[in-house]
Amino acid sequence: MKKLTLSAAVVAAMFGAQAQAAPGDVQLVGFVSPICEVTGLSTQLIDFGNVSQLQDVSVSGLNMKCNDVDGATVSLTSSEGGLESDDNEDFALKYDATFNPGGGLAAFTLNAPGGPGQNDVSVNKSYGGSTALAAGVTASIDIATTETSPWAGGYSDTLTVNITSN
Amino acid sequence: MFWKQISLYRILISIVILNLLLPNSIHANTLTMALSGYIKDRCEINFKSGNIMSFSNNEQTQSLPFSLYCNRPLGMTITSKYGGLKHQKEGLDLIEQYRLSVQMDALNIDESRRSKQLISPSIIEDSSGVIPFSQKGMLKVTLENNLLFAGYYQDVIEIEVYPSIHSVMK
Repeated sequence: MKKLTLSAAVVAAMFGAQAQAAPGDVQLVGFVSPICEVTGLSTQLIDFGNVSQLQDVSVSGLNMKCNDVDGATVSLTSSEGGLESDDNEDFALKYDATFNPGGGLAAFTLNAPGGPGQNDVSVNKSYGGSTALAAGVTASIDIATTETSPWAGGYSDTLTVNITSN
Repeated sequence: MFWKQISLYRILISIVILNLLLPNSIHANTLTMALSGYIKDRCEINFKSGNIMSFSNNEQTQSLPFSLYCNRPLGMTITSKYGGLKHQKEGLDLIEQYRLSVQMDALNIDESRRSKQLISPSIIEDSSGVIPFSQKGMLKVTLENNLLFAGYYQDVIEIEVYPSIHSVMK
């Protein structure tokens, strides 16, 4: 009889528990702002010096960061397609610009073709989303002329690094 | 003759009155009354300062005070919808783990779980037979890693408090 009473009490408690359950919901929310940037360029003027000889310059101290989960696409664009002559307009010297990101991400190279009539020569590379890219990696750009010029005068180009979230 | 009848009636009335006045002393009896009462079980948890915890890439820990009432020994079960903070981009299975802890000093409850463990209902603690009545506690969530990827994250934690079956069996 005692056992029966105890069982009844347990069953009653079980039904009571279901009936009286009072759920309290807590909502966890989070938000992270999108960031996609290449920073750290200390100067906007990179001087090759005498381009009658082959030259190379390394630009270090850059940072690249993109926290898009799908990653980012980085592009290198040469406005003139090479180092353009001031005196012989539309004639440009060839050069190679290599973008070297850290964090195990692959490097890629823009081969500016030089010659006449080149504008906005571009190459791009897509990187998948990764914790390294989202947290930010160091980067550098190595630029080397691959052609010399016997002609006097100034030679210039604008190289643009662009990063866009995928 | 008339007066004789009157006297007889008086005697009979006296006997009847005497019977009416003294029944208990003659036949002892007991009057019993059953008294009973009932108070419904009530166990509930309230988040008076809101029920939203908001995280960002530089806010890894959030706390939420709660008040709890239970008029029986209680049990507590916690369930997480995603088992972590889930990135809300469709088709993406990115879940950031966190550690959840429940503290109720008065009941000596200080329990924590990884969010992954909360996918299925996890019994945090029963009150060991103690009826807590009104108590206050703290819910704390700490992300295991910074939120890195841009976008919205979400999880829903369901906390259920109920009269404990264990305490009944004790």
